[in-house]
Amino acid sequence: MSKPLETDSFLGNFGRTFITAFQTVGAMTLLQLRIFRSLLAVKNFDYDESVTQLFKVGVRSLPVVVATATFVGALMVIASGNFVRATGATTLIGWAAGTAVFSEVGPVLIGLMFSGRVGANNTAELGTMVVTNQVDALRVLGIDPIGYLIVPRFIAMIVMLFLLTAIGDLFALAGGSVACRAVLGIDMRIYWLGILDSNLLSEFIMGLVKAIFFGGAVGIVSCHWGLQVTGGARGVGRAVNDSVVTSAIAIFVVNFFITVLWT
Amino acid sequence: MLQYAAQILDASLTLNDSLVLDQVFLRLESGRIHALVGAGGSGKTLLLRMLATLLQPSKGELHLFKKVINFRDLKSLRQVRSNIGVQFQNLALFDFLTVGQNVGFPLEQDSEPTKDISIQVKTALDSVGLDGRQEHAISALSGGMQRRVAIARAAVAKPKLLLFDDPSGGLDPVTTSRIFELIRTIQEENDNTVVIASHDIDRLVKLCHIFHVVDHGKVIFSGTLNEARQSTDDRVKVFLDV
Amino acid sequence: MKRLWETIRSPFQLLGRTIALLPSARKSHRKILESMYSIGNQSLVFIALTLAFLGLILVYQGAYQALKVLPDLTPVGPVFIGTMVRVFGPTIVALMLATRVGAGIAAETGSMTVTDQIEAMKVTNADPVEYLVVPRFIASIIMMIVLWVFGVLVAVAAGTLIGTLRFGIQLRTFLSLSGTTMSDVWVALFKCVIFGAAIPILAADSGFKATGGSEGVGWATTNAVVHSLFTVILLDFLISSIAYRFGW
Repeated sequence: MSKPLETDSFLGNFGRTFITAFQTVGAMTLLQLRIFRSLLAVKNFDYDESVTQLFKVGVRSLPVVVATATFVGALMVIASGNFVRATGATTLIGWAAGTAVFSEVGPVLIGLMFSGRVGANNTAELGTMVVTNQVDALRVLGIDPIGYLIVPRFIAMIVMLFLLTAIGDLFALAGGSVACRAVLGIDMRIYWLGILDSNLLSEFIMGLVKAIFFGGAVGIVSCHWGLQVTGGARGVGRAVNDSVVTSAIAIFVVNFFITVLWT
Repeated sequence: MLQYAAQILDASLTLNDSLVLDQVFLRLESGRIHALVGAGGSGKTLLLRMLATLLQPSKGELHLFKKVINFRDLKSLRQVRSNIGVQFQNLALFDFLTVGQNVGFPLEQDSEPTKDISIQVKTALDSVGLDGRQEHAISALSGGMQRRVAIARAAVAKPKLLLFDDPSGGLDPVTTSRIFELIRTIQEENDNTVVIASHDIDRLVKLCHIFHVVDHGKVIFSGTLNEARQSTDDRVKVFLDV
Repeated sequence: MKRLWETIRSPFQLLGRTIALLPSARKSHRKILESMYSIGNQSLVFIALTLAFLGLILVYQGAYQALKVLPDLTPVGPVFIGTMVRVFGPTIVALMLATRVGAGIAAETGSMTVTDQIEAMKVTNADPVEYLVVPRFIASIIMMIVLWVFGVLVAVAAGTLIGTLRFGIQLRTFLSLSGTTMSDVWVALFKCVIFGAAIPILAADSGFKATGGSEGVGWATTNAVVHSLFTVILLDFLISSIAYRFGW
């Protein structure tokens, strides 16, 4: 890969960003293909490693995700508050919050938090392994780093984000109900009735499907940036930065496409 | 009457629930070159940082230039620090500044500079053989050159107390000789107090006047080489190779 | 428990010291401008992309759901713009800033901490907070406001595209400011200042706590991002609740 032009002009930066973006997407697609190939040759990956990763990844991020989801739910209710106050349609509060949380806000914000907590951590771990030559050491021992390191993490992230989104969604609703009473002054029963009345099953499932794709996206992105770290401590920091940023973009883009295709 | 540039009196330091410095007693005679030796992890670097006022003892006192150091008195701390120069083990050069900016950095913090900073920087870089490289980036220099820049930065403000943490680590013998010669010259020209923490016993023996041996967070010996030869402590004999 | 208290206390200490040192910022114009340029440079494309898709999705979902309960789509544009200005604009831009700039600041200060550059500053009588944190603090607040405006414009542009092309809403009906009030703008500006202040403080605080080489820098960056994301959401909730209660 040739070094892009060192230019500080605005247009130059713009162009360089585009080139880097294409290179990155290309590299990540290749990584995804290698992951799939590894998955098919099932005997390649280490089940123990998968389980440990799953545990580490999921349990440690539960508190943060739950807390975030609760406040996000509350925020959604407050945001709809103005609209409800203006139209007097208090019964819509449950439906509005429920739809927003299940179909959009829940998966996206939990996904972002996940990318910050788990994705960044993953990139940092892999990056440090690269910098300390551990990945090379694996290759020398004849172990395929993709099968050994990447695939377990990829699977773990998908499963965990799926579960975290499901749990988070519910906490978001709970947070919303408290905000409904405490901030908007509307009876919680109206809120919960509104949710139960509207058939939100389709939205809930769409949200979970999004979570699966987000988990995969964060998995690939974080592993990609982790594996291509160069330059010691500073390089790892930069890779984590790039990882979280790329994940965020991926989440927003994937989110849009799934919503449009689903509805 | 002996003058002490620095004294650490009965100081202990606890970090992360473990006692890393244990009732240390260390006196540094002014105008001498002191060696600080000991195994890795013995506390050498911690002692250097304490002398640099970067670490505060959990118990005990630090005296510098005949004054007790009060870590809460920021003004007097500033005053003291303007008389200390430190070369860190990992160099700690500012990677976002050029060579010249790095060396001039200590001078920029002085609110009333007495001479033109660029002249002082030029002199300092000249003494380490790197004059002309003011505009270079740190990353463009080799390890040995970076080390010399770090030494120039430590010495540029002509501090009364000059601390070197592993000045020759990982360098070839020729560069190492030059660096130790450099330290000798700096001390002779400025008559300041120098402390060198190093594993390079051969060179330390040729350069330093007083030796301090640190083991497991305690200073077990302070004195000249002759006194070391008469010591009954085997560890001292091993560390100083006498 | 003690660690939780320490985690909460140290950013506040840093905030206090930063604010106390603000007057001295008068002589670091260049550093502030450099920081602003750097933040803008790093974030422009990123925010453009994410906010564009946000605008697309908000209008898409908004119109789609509105079709189920409302007779026509006239409120969609105004409500979208109002919500964008007041709620999603500051919040999402702040989250993106936390991700991009927060991680960047944490990585910088983190790598400086593990390579002893911070200690070198202290011993040469340069205050790391004054030198590193204050310029970024000021720059971040200013840029947060700038990027909020930018982000809202991008999102509205994208939303307008999908509103008019996919749902056939009239341009003039859509691009109405009737759903946006002055208090929306004030609340949003206030949020921008608070978010813009919180992110660099949390990031630098994480960076200064880094220990141990590249692993430490990675940890500091992760820490910074997670704390910033959560804090933005928490602060958003607090500000929104108070604003709602006071009818702002």
